[in-house]
Amino acid sequence: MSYNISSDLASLPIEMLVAKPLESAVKAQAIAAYTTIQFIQDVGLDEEGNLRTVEITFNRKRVDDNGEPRDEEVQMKVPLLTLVPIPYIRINKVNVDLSFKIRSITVDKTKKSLAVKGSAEGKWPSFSFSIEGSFSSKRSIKTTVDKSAEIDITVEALQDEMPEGMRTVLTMLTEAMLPPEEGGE
Amino acid sequence: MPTVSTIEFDKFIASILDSIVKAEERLIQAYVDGLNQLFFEEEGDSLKPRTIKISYRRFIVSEEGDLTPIPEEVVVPLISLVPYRPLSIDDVEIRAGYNIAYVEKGDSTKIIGLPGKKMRRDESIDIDIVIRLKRDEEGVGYGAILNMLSNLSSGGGESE
Repeated sequence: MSYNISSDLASLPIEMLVAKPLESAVKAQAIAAYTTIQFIQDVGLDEEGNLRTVEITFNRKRVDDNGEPRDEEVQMKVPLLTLVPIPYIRINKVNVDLSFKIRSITVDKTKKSLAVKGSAEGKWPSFSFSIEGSFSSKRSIKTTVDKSAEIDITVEALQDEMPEGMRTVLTMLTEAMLPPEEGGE
Repeated sequence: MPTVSTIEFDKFIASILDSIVKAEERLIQAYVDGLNQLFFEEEGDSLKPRTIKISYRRFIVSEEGDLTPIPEEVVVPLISLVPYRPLSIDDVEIRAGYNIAYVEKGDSTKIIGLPGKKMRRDESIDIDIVIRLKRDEEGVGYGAILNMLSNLSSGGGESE
């Protein structure tokens, strides 16, 4: 029976090969979102959920009640979350390029041979002869099949906009960043 | 040995399209699973939004004119802090190239004088499937949940 390329084609796991990269892209997106959540929790908050802050102390000139200029020490506790960019990486585009190649070479050889050997002898009126013959046929079918599959995935990711909820939280935290009274909280 | 194509291209292309439709279903399912795992947790038979609690101090000016720190606490749903965009199939391109070459040497009908025959068939098929995904808009329900949860974010705290 000779080789049939269509059976190989039908057995290609196309469903799996198509679905897996797409599914992986969505999962990658979820992992990126989870990483952002972790970042907010680890960088922005301590174990108890208290805001991590950076304390900044500086002097500024103020005019006192007597109209004299004097240095005033100001301390600010700045929430870390308001200082660092929050990673909002999201997938913008994904290209999945699947290539399958099947190549088959079938060589069908038939070799036939015929051998005939004959002899005759006699003297009138008797006469005899003999013939010996052989016939052989050899057939060989050789099929070589090369199959290859390639997957090329291109992912384009970019920094997403800050969601409205985060923007609100940061605004709220920035407003709460008023300098405490002199000498501490 | 067939000398013409035995491939049923119509069925083959239909099977690719069928695979793509199924892949899109899995794409949506993976998105929903991610949404549930990231932003919700099970509580009995229902899902409760995951939140983070942020404790901070706000300063108010007291009647005496001093700045007084007031502990504040805000509970924010994670869904409002982190974008999680769906991806959907934008377009699909299927290219298939098929080649068949058949060469026969010799003649099998004669017996004497010819050693036999040789047939060679080269058949190849190249299939290229390109699937492009793009960032899609969140469903209307996502926006509704987001708005509802954002309104539920509790602010304010006890004053000292």
